[in-house]
Amino acid sequence: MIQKQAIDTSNYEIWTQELTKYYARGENQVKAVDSIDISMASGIHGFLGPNGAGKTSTINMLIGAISITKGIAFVKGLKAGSRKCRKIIGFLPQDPGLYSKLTGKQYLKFVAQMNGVKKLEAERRTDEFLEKFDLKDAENRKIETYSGGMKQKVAFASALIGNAEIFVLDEPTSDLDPIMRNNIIKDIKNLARNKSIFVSSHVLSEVELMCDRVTIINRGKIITTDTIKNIKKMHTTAKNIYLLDTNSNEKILEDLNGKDFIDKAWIDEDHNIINIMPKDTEALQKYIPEAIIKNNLLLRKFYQKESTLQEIFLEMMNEEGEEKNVN
Amino acid sequence: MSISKSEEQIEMESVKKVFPSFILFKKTLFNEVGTLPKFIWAIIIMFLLGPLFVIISINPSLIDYSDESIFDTGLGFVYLMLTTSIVFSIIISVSTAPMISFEIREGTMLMLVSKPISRANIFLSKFLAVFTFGFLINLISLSITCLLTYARYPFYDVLPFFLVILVYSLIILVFFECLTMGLSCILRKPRTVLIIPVGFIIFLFLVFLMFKPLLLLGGETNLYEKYHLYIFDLSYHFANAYFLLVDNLLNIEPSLIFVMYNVAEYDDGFGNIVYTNYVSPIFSLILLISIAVLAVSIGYFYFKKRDIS
Repeated sequence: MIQKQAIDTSNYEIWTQELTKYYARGENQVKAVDSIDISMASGIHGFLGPNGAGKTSTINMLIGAISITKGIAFVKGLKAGSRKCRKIIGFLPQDPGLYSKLTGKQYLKFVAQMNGVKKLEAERRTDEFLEKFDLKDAENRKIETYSGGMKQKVAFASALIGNAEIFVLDEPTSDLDPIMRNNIIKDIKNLARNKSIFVSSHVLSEVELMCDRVTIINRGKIITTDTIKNIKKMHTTAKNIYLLDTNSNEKILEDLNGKDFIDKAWIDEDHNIINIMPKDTEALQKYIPEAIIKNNLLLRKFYQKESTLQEIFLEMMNEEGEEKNVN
Repeated sequence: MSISKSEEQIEMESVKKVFPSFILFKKTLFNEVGTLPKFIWAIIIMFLLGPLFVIISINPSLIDYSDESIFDTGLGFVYLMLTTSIVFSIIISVSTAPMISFEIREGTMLMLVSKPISRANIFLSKFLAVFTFGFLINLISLSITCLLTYARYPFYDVLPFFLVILVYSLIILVFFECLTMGLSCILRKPRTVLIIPVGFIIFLFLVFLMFKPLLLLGGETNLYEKYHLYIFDLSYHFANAYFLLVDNLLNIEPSLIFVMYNVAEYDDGFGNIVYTNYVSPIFSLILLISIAVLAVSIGYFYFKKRDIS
């Protein structure tokens, strides 16, 4: 049951409870978002999930573009979708629709004014953003003549040009070349110095670079939500894999496989490094230096493996898939 | 402290309140429906098709060019039958039809609804922009036509005719704009939205007109009267509404145009034209307004609730 009165939603940048979205009715009903709870504090919050996970539907509910079937959502304490709420959100859609018959300059000025920015200030900001995004030379050309990257720049600039207090960015780096992608990530990080950003993506390496905290969603349900550091830590502890590299990996692997404190040990052929899953971590940590000295080997590396967000994400998706198959 | 005029203007600008609805209205009018080439072409078509229709369709023997009958049988006919009813409504439908559904498909509507402007204001801004566009086309093309006519026949008072057509064009404009705007909010494909009103106009003013005589066969017991089919005949109601204006503002004799749309018929005895009076012109006008209001209301409420993604 929703207990809104117990929470001061203005303490959160984004706060949702049992947020649900169904498309269609009857037999064709699709549950796009299934009762999700998000509590976003300031900073950059990543919203991850595979295609069709419900990311865009959630974002569209926050900006009021689609109706909420069930549950509640607040942005900085303002009811999601309300006019006041939309005024404080800088929104970048997944496939930004631009008025192709307008010039870049006309479009940015139009968007600024639609956000309530006064005419002269809108003109000033338009010039500033055209300069910043390297679009000054093309400012009087119609958007239909722009390249894909230029259009994405215009769309990104249009999300920033208003008086937003929080930014909701849906796949901001999709369809960008690596240089542009890098620039946009830098811009997002700069922006996060004094504004909060809710960013959805499935490019996990970027999310890892940008975000402090992430929510992972699949099939409309939240799988986990935490700081990237904690997610990695939990996953690393749970997996508890040690990596070992010496000048004779085969020799020490033979030695390790006979030990009762080892669950499994194998050589990762891609990286030519030994992966060890211990039953008793302490015993392993004591044994490795002894074995190195005893066999007169050279120790190159010995450390606990930290999973990347990508690995964690893929594993979570696999687990989800397996669970679904079991059910 | 004295400040220069430009500084004063700048100061005034900076305190002006911003109305997103007005910004959207301006953009829709000047950058979408009312782009200059489209605007000029619409006026040229409106202006040229009238006289062209006179040349190819009107039997010259029916018109006495030396007197004012040109206005009753010629100019009035042209404007009602072709220019105002068909060309004008097609221009408006084509301009209006894709507006909402096209913006939803292209993703620009998602940008608009994410801004601090209500959907009612988005709808209203677009509606008013199309209305302004249609009104200006008609005003300019009608003014040119009337001025040229006045130059050719200075003895005739053009002003009442100008007013009748202008008011009638507003009825046509509002009706078809409401219809297409309503459809545009409900249907997903802009092409479908475009085909329905244009097809409807062609059927109403051309196809149905060609086949209607079949319903009228049989003299006094014709099917059209027997089953009160005129109630469903919107072209009859359009002509009847036109009659309301003509009767009140021009006070002219019933002409061929009204016979075509069954507002009048030939009196058997002497070949005079008499009014049929199936329903009162006010009823026809109210019916048209009701249909328009219904279409636009359904469209608006659908748009208000519609998921835009």
